[in-house]
Order: sequence, then structure tokens, then C-alpha cells
Amino acid sequence: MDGELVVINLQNGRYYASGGVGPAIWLLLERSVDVSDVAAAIAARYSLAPDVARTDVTAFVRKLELEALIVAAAPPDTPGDSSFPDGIEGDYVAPTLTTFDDMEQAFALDPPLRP
Amino acid sequence: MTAGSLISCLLPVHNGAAYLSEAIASILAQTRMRLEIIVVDDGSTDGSAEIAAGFQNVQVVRQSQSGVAAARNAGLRLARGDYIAFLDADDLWLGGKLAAQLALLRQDAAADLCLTLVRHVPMIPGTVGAPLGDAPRLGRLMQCLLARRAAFDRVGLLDDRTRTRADQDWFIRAAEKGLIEVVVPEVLVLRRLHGQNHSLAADSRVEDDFLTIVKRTLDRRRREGLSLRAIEQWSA
Repeated sequence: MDGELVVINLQNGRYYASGGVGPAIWLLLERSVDVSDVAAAIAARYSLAPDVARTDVTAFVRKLELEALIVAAAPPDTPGDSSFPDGIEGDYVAPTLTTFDDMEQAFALDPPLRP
Repeated sequence: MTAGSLISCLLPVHNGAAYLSEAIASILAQTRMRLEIIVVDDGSTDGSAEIAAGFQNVQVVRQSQSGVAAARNAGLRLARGDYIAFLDADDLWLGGKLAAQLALLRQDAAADLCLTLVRHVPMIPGTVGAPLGDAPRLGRLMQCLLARRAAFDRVGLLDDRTRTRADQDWFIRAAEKGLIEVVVPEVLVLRRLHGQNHSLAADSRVEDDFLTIVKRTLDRRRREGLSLRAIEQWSA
């Protein structure tokens, strides 16, 4: 949404906003693109050294796993489309993830958080 | 207390014929209160409006289906009360609900909103809502609210741009404006779960409404220079 990724963890009511290249990485992961191919797509788009892209993408993916927002899955039979997502503008900014928990009460009842 | 303040009881309904009479009766059973009851029929096709019109002292207004938030707003625009309360067609107030809340708000002039506890009652065992259990919970929900009219003047109407979750959005905005909440620690509202409750459907549209409200809240806090209240800022 407007270049910002918003994610809610329905297990605990925490919510997250991601900026920089985070939304682009998320969209690629959603297409089941392998992490190394995500890094390659980011490196190509922003003319980054492959190491820099790989370090940032890997760190972001680890962070998402740590927050239980994604889980690793076996690669799909047909690789996902690794072209850089449309509609993302601007220069390279490393991915960010900001965590919030102040709406847990608002989310607690309606519908219930998933136990 | 009959000569006291007027309480507007706003009841939006969309195809709630099966439960509506009991809901209205639970309002009428609030004794020794000066009540104005407004049922807003949100494009029902099951005779809900006719059921409501069969009650004395119940004002019925109709609108083409625009959603529960728009229906509550229509009620708010008509309401003449010093206090505002809501009920949904499938929920029930227990006896003394308004009296207990009004007493608390009268006792505490600084309080703007009064909530109660709520219990969820499955009408069909094992249906939706089972995860809620039947333990009493704080009802930060419109049907558990008694608010001073001024609270709506300060916070504004419900935001009807999402189909669901508009009440949570309103409570979030109320907290940002610094409105003060007090609670009657008693179960005074029953929420009847029947598998068709609009807001409890755990479908992707409801989850999208959550995301929309989160995004809107973040943008509003940035725009108004409010703290985002993050608990962690991470960057690669």
C-alpha cells in the first residue's frame, strides 16, 4: 500500500510496516521465488554488488522468519516469476521492518486472534 | 432517573429478522431510563424493518444497503440523546446495562466512554466463534459502549470505507484523542454467534479490512506527528 508493506500476525496481534526494498522482496517471496533469485533480481534492478544484495535479502528473510511472518518451503516445481515487481520506484534503500503491538486489544475480539 | 438524560439506542440491522425482536426487547427492558430507540434498516429483504416497526416507541429508518458503519452513522445523525448506545440485531443487552453504565459516567465526569464485559454465546454448538470461548471478555465493541454524545463530536463518525472493523478503528481514534474509558466489570452484553455474524467471518476480506485500518492508522499518526509507538525498528 503506497510503497509500504503492512503485515499482521493473526496469532499474536502484532503488526509490522516494512519500507526500503522490503516490499519488493516480499512480493517476490509471495511468487515463490527462491531467496538467491530474489537477491539477484534486487542486485540487477539497483546495480548492486551481488554480495550486498544477498546480505540484505538474507537478513530480511531471517527477520521475517524470526517474527513468524513467513516459513521456509520446498521450491515449487515451476520457479516463480523473478522479474522485479511493477510499481516500485526510487533508489535502493535497505529493507526495514518496524514492529508494533499497540493494536492487540483492538484486534483481540473481532475476529478472534488465531490461537 | 426517568426524568434524567436521554439515551439514544441505535440498532443497525441487515437481514436480522431471526434475532431482532429479542434485541429490541432487551433495549425496552432497560428500566427507568429515558430512551430514544432508532432502528436503521440497512437494505434488509427479510422483513426486519417491519418487525422493528411493530414495536411502539421505536423509530425505524431505512437505507439501501451500505454496511453496518454507515447504518450506525445514519443513527448518529438522527440521535438527539445526551448519551449514545448501540446494539446489533443479533446481540442482547442484559438487564441494568444502561443503568450501570450511566451511573459510572455520572460518577466520573472525566470519563467519556463506558464499556462492559461481553460473553459469546454460540447458538449452534461448535460453529464460528468457538475460538472465543465463553469466558467474559472486555467488550471494546459498539454494542458494549455507552458514550457521551460529545465523544462522537470529538472523534467523529465511524469510518465507513471498510466493510468490517469500523468499530475498532473508532476506538483506536478515540484513544489517540485521549478519550477516557471506564468499565463496568460485569457481563451486560451477550453476543449470539450463529455462523452468519458479519464481523466474525474469518475471510480474506475481513483480514484486508484489518490491514487497511492499520495502514490508515500509521499514515494518520505520521501526518499528525503522533508517536507510531513501535516496539522495534529493524533495518538490514
